Amino acid sequence: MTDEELWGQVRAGASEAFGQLFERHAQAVFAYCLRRTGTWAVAEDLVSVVFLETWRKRASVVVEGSLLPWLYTVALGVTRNHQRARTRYKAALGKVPPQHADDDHADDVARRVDAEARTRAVIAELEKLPAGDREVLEMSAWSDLSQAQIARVLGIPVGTVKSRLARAQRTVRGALVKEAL
Amino acid sequence: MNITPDIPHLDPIRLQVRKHALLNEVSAKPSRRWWRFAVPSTALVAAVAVTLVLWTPTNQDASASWTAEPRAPVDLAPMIAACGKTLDQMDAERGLEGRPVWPAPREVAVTDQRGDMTMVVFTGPQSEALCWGTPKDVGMSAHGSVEEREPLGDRLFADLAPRIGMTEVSGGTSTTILTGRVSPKVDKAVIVTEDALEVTASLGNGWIVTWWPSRGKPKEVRLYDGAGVLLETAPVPVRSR
Repeated sequence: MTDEELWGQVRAGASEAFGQLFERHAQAVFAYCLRRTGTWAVAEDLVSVVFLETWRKRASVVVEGSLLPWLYTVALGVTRNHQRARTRYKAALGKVPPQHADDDHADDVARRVDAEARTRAVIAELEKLPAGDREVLEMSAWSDLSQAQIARVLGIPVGTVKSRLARAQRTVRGALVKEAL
Repeated sequence: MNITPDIPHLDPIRLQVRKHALLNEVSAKPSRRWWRFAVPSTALVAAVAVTLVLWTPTNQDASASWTAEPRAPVDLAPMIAACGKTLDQMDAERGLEGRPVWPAPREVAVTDQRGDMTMVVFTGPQSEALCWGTPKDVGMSAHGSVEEREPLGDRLFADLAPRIGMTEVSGGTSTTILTGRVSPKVDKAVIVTEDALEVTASLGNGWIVTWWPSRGKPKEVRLYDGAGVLLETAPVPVRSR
């Protein structure tokens, strides 16, 4: 079943369909949030926030093809203000059962630490960019969205996406942004 | 540098835990925060309805005849009967998809007549409805909760807030309707708006209702007892949505 079909059910109030969309896109949203925040636990919470916000606005969201552009739009917003977003959804996040210490095998912990270290190094590099250029570069590199979709997500013209991307790539020397090329 | 570092996959068990927590949350009935959802939608519907009521060519100028004090009541039976039909319809559709689960309120708590507009506030343990109209038409905005209303306790007032606000597109004439609860100790309530109107609300059975011809937000409420003694002057709380 396509995103559009599932979304039609979600708009009619079907939470099961929303669960399927969560399973389908949670990893992509998580990766984006982790790369933006550099903290595993924060990124996990923000995935929940993104989907809660999406559910809240389901009546006004129109999905054409994939739900991902909308999810990235919300993820951009909540990562811009992630402390405020987490506070707003504090009650809901508090209902997520905590992860037991037994589950934290050493390999998993190392995996998370490595991922956080890698993303924080990237964040430090990208923070040299102006915010507008940075968001275009990140969206190009970390999502499968086209430049036209990125323009819609960020609310800017396609030409601006292209110019900001070119400028950002010149600044971040050697950055690999193959998706946007 | 590679700005696209590999991100490990989320643990499948944790993913399921989060999914179930998410679905539990979205399936839960709203309780204490029901105003957030009820007010915007009902206010929108109400705004459209009131716009039609107030500014159709057959009923041109309700605002012009507005007075700061309510006028003496006339026979409200026809209007209460008309409002009752809408409440009957609400009860008939109760629990259907997208419809309220709470019973429609039936007790007439307070009425207000000023200008060309008459308002009736119906209340019940879990809900209240603001019904308004002219001799030509009737509109309603209802709110409710799965829980019963919190008692006032020692407070002199609560839930004081503008329920409906609108501006006529062509003429720019505006209207704000306010409702709220007050203690039995209160015999008179005056609302002061940010554009310096002082509006005496109608009061009955622990409820107040009034309207004024502007979009000026309510700034302050003055509460008096039966002897005319000022009990409290307080800012009207700003409701966040």
